[in-house]
Amino acid sequence: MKGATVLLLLVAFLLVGVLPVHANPYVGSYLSNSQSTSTSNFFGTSFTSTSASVIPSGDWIASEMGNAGTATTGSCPCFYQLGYIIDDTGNVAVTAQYWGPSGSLYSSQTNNVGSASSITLEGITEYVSGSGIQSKAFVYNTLTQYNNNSPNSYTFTAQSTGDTQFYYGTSTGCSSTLLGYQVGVESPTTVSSSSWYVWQNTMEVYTTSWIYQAGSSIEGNNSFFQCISGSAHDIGGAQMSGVSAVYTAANTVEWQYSGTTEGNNVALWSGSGGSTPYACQVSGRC
Amino acid sequence: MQRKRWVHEKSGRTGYAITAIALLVVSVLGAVSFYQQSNVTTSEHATTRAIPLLNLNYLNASQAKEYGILGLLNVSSSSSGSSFDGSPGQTLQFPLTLSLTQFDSSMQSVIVSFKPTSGQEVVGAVDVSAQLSYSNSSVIVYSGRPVTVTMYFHVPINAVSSDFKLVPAGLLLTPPSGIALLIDTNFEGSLTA
Repeated sequence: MKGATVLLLLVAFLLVGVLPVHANPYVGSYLSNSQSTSTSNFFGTSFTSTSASVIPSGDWIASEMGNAGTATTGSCPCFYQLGYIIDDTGNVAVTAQYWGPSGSLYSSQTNNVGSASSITLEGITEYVSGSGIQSKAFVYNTLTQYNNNSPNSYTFTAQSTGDTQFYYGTSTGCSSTLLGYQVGVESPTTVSSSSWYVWQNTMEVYTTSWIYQAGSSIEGNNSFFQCISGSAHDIGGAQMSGVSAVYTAANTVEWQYSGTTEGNNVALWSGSGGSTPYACQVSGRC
Repeated sequence: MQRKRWVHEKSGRTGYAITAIALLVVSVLGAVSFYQQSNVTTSEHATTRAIPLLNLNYLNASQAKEYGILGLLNVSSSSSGSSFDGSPGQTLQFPLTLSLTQFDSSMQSVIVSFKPTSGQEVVGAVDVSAQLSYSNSSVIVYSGRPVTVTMYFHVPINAVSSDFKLVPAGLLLTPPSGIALLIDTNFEGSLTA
């Protein structure tokens, strides 16, 4: 019996060591060009067709942008997340999280910035000369705000991490395909109701102008964005089973629980283009 | 004695069998779980690490420490949810409660400096952060000892009538890393010109 007990403990130890301690289902899209660099990354989203009542108590759904920085010295490689979170009450929070190899560099969240009925939610992560990396959230809660392009805007404190640029497109590292810029949907558990929808649009990056490239899908167990100390880092860590892109157009995707899993590297839109994102059309805002 | 011994041996064999079945089940479940989580050819990756988006409303100690967050500063208000009405030139007051949740014993306190700067928070045409001030320039918040601070919002003379949402802005934390900041206030009202 002693031998069996030791063996049982060994198996338990191995399982704890092998399994991720924490993982969230995630599915997203990425720009499928070869890797290049940008100084600002943007995304837009909304939960306007979502019935918050289908979100179980204590659960939530996030629509987020992930950006891998290019710096490899000091406190980096670094990764920057900006997301909107809708909870089971219909409240919407915005969060900015900046990660370095030693853990979280910065994590800030502001609750109650919007709701399921907010017209649109936009966000930018950019390099600010002399200050560092900064994220801004643009919340259009009413049609009047949208028509006048006068959102509530919230700026998250700039962090001087060493990054001045971000990667977008695809490259290889840690024997994985790395996707520097992603926009996706994440949740602690997949909300298995067809009454939630997340719109994502304006996946654009700034190089010498705002641009987008062809986009494809990626699940959370393959959403690698950086290779740090020989370890491939991904967003979420688990695939979002049963969720698929139920509508796509240029630079736009709508995610919904449909019972079908989207899968990896499925083309969502083709071609390239670009125009100044709506929030950035006001001078001095981006 | 022989019967006792036989019963003992049989009981031992049954124990081994149960243990073996348990090990098999645990191993299979573990393998299935691992492949569901990673869905990669294990030989391709030495290690992988998942970076989740953290909802600070539900942050627990083990998750926080896993990602290097040693403490959480929560900013709340007893006035959250109650509507306000402001007119041009008026100064509105909002009580804030700052509390530190300690996830690691090394995080005893945090210094919070209040330095709103122009453009940090804009509501429509109103540069809110340029109109915000606080009763203190900075405070030290110790774990388990909440601190109350008053936020002032000076309604601009040229404000136009509108529905209004207000969020505390300009909070700088020392140390700047290792502390998560959760602004959990809900100030909604209207400005009447």
